[in-house]
Order: sequence, then C-alpha cells, then structure tokens
Amino acid sequence: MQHLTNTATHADPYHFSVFDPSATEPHAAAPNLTDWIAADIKPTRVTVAPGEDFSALLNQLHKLQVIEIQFPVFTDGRGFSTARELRERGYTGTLQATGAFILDQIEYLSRCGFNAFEFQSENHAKVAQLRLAHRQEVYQGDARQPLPLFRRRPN
Amino acid sequence: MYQYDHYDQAIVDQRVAQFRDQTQRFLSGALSAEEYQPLRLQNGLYIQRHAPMLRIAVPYGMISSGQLRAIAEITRKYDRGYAHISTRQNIQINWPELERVPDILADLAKVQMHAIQTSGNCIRNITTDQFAGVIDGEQLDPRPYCEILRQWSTLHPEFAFLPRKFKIAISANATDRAAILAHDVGIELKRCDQDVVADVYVGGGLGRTPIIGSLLKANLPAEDLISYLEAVVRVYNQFGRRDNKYKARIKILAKAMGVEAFGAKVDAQWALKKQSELQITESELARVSSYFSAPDYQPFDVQMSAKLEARLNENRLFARWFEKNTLAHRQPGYRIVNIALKSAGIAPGDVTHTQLDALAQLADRFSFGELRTTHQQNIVLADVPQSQLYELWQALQVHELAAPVIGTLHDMICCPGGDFCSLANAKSIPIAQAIQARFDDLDYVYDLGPIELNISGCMNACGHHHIGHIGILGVDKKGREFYQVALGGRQGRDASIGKILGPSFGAEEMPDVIAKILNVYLKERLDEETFLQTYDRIGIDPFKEAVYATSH
Repeated sequence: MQHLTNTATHADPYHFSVFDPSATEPHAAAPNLTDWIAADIKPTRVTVAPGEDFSALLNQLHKLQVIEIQFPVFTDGRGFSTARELRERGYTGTLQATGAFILDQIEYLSRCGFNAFEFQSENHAKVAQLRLAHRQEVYQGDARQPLPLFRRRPN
Repeated sequence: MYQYDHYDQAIVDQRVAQFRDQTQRFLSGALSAEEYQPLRLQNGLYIQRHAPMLRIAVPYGMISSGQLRAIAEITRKYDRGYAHISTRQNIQINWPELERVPDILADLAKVQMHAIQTSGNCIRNITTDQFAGVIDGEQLDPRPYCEILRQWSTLHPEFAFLPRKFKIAISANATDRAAILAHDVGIELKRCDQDVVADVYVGGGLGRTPIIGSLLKANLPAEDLISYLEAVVRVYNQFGRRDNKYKARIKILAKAMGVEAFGAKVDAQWALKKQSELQITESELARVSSYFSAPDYQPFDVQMSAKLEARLNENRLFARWFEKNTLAHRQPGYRIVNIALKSAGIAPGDVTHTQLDALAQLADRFSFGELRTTHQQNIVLADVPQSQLYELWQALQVHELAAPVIGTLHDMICCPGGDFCSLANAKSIPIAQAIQARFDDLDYVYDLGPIELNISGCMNACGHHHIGHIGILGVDKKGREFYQVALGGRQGRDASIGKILGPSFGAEEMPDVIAKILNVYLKERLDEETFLQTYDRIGIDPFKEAVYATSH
C-alpha cells in the first residue's frame, strides 16, 4: 500500500509526496463512525462511509487529525460532497480518500479538499502525483484556489 | 452571443487533451470499459446500437454561423453527412468512430464548442426559451444567467458522480417555453423593482415517473443562484437514491422527503455558502451580459413594411409560411423565423450538411450570423428584417427548409428511437413518418390548428411524450413493438401529464388511431376551440370510444 499526501507541505497544494505508510510510525487504524461515536475518549482519526450521518463530528472537527472517506465504488460520488462540506465547516486536518476511486478522479478529489490518498500500487500513486502537480484552469473555486474564475478574471 | 476568452478556451482545450488520454488508455486496455464509461458519457459519447453517438453541446441553444459550418464539416469528415437536433437543444451525430472522437472534440474546440456534460450523471446542458432576448413578454434576458450557470456547472469537482443526470432549465417570460416544471431544477427569473429574483422549482421530470416540479424557493436574489444551486445539488448528491437507477432522480428524493423537508436540508447547506465568494458579482453579470446586447438593428421603415404587405397579398404560399413560421419580434421591423426540420421522409430534427451550410449562410445574410436550436427540434433565425423575409423564404425553399408547419401536427417531437438508440423499446421515427405521410394534406393539417404530437421510443421519454397533446410511447411486449397513446398532456405554465387512452397498438395501426382521435376533435369542437380545449371540455371518453369501438 502507498500513500500520497501533501499534508506536510501546506504551502503548495499541488505538491504531493508518495510514501509507504508501513515504513513510518504505525497508527491505529481509524475507527468507523459508529465506534467513534460510541467511544468515551474520542480518537483523533475516524472513517466515514457514504450515506453515514457525520453530524456528530461537526463540533469536534478541531480535534480530529485524520478523516478517511471511503469510496466503495468509484461511481458513488457522495464522498466528494462530504469532503467539501467538512472543509466548508472548517476542518483543516488530513482528509484521506480510500477505496475504489480511480486516477481520473484525482483532480476533482483534490479540489474537493482531499489532501491524502491511499493507493494499492506505487505506480498509481506516482501517476496521481504527476497529475496533481499539473495546474489546470477551472471555473469554480476549490480547495486549492478559493476564488471562482469570475472573481479572478481581470476586468 | 458569448465568446470565449483565453480562460474558457484553456478549459475546453484541457478537456480535449484529457479525453484523448482517456480514450487512448481505454483502447490500450489500461482503462477498463467500466471505468471509461462514465468518463466518455460526461463527454457526450454513447456506445449505441450501430456505432457510437456523440452529443455536442449547444449551450442554451445559441450557435453561430461559424460553429454551424464546423458542424457541417464534422458530419462530412467523421460521419455520414447529417446531424440531429435533440430535444435538449443539442446536436447529435450518429456514426462517428470511437478512435476519432478526440479529433472531433479538437475540431469543435477550435470553434468554441465541446461535448462536456451532454450525458452522464452530472449537470447537463442548461436550456432556456429559444426566443430569449427577442420575444415580447420577457422580464429580462435569461441568457447571461444561463452562461454564468454554464460556467459554474462545467467540470464542477463535486458534482461529476451524482446519483443520476441533472437537468436545469431557465425561463424569464410569462409564457414558459423552457418547460421549467419538467426539469430537475426549473428557474423562473423575474424583475422585482431594480433587482432580479428567481423562483426555483425542484423535482419535475418526465421519464418513468413523470412529475411536475414544485416551488422550492420563491424570490431568491439572483446573485445567490450559484450558492443556492450548490446547496440543492449537494443535498441531492448526498441523499438521492443510488440503489435503483429508475428511482435516482431528484424528483423521487423530493417526493419521498417532502418538498419542505428537502428545502430545510437545502437551507442548512446554503447557510454554509450564502455569504461567500459564490455570490455572483455585478461586474461578472455586466461582463457576461455585454455578449447578449441587442445587435445593430436598422430603424423601422414604413415603406418596407408596405412592401411586405404587398408580397403577402400576392403570394399565398409565402403568406402561409409567414403566418405559421414567423413570430412578432420585440424590435419593430423584425421577425423571428422558425425553420422546421420536419420535412416528409426525414427523421424529425435531422439536418443534412448542405442544409447546415445553407443555414449558416442565411444566418450571415439575414440574422447577424446567429441561430438557435429549439427543444421542438427546429432552428430559429431570431433577428430577420421584415424587408428580407421574402428573400429568405425563397432561399429556404431551395434547401427544403421552408415547410410551413410550425405548431401543427407535422411539427412532431421524436426521439431517435430503436433505429439508433440502444435504450429504446421500439422505433419512433417510422411512426412519425407514417403519421406525416397519412396527413399530407396541409389544409387539413392547418384546419386542425395547434397540435403537439410527441413520440418516445421508451420510458426515458426523450421525445417528451408525457407533455404532448397527443403522446405516443413505444413499448416492448414479448419482443414485439407496441405503442401506447396518451391525450391531454401539455408543456408551459399549466404543464400536465397526458392520460393514457387504453391498451397499446401495433405500429401499422397508428395512423388510423391518430385519424380517429382527430376525427373526434373535428366532430366535437365548438367554434374556434383548439384540440386541447375540446379535450378539456369533453374528456377522454369520447376519444376512447371512437378508437376502441371499431377495433373490436
């Protein structure tokens, strides 16, 4: 398994690094949302699946370090909205995409606020890294560039 | 109309390069068919019965003569020399090769066109009144808002994998020609003192479960349209059903939740965005509006008007075309001209490459180089001087584009059906052609008055059969094609869904069935009653009796 993140390099939202998570300090796996809600002492990591009501997280966002958002199939786009809403509500920690998302979604995921991705292969992680480094023109504001084009166009 | 600057151009060029890469990876096996499917659909590419079909976006129906020439050239270079105008004002070509689609998109990009989001589970081409900006009764020109929302919805990162497709229509006229109540979201723009406000309707739609939209938000300040729509689409994305594609549209969600509860969820999301950089700025509205300012109209000339009168008096055919196919224009001395793509023997909405070139030339000569496509599958020249109508009519005749049938039984809406579409249960084009052939006496057709006959080859209702005065739906029964008939549907402000007449018919019976329905109307109508007025007065039973009595 390989991770791709730019959580260490906040200054440049286009610069991501590839690393093998097993080579770094081990983390306890992120609990699912039900377990997190049931826990007396809230873990700093949590996993959210599509369709889960994550309102219990909203007043704890400043204490969370990692929120993993699952994509059971790549065509289920709920995770895009979950990520963007969490960012709009002020979450600044790691937002990690896990599961069946595909390389062709990587720009949209990053634009919705994901700053970490879990890949099965190092090759995919490297391709994604290259794609994310490539700046593209877009109409909407996003996690990398908050202003929509209509506020950036010179008059 | 709107012109790209280097930002718009860069976005379209990037998409061409991205799609070329995706297609190459698919052809090399690096991208699976399953992964490629939503990516190609979001670029308008279907894999169809005979060949792929490419749907080219015509944003809110506006197209320039140069763009139309490029389409003509594309149909020659990559296809079979004709194109099809769809009921969402887009242009389809039916025979491209998959390998060459990236080249088609590159050719389109050169004339500021693309196929982005003409299909797939995303926000589709935004449609509006085909007479926007030139017709009376308009509160404001909706096109600047259409363009602003086109840009907002184009390649939106959050909304590319919705539960199902999402269609938005905008109207700003007392007469709704955009069918806003039959859309996932319908927007009616209005003036309120100095401000522009929007009534937002949600959950309309045809398809398997036809539903008329409900009012979700009244008097929304127009500068909040983007933030509000983001909230609506987000609630849909999070809560819309994904377990059954026939229940995945927003209409099912809004109905299940109730419009009030749905609206409360939208408001909660909207609160996160309302006062944000999403608010449409005055300078952006002014920038976009400048592309839709009135063209350089010539002052009204009484002598020219008299000359037109004389022509109308001396030429009955011209007068007939004038009456049926042209409309009053807001500017004195000008007319709006409808060009029916409904010639006998061709599929409704089909247009050949020579006709496309001719239309481009006529637009340059007579209508400031701009045209519009309509959801009735016709073409409009919106700004024709009265003094040139006769010349235009003569030129249209040469290209078989002068059929004086707008608003009549011949002006049918018809989906491509089983001849082309792999979703269809039955053919639709041969039914349209058989009906047209049966009622080829134009005097009879004119005597019938305004009749909208809409045909769909399946439940997906691309032919809008639910809202036809006479609606025909193709169904499959044990491998045989049958046709269900409904009466009394209508579009516009009092939109409603037609009532099913009874058991379905074989294809060969259809012209007779339509004849019996029309005979009931002709027999029962009072004075100047239209088909719909007679239907509303006498109900469906007399039609039922007439149609089924003799067939038993």
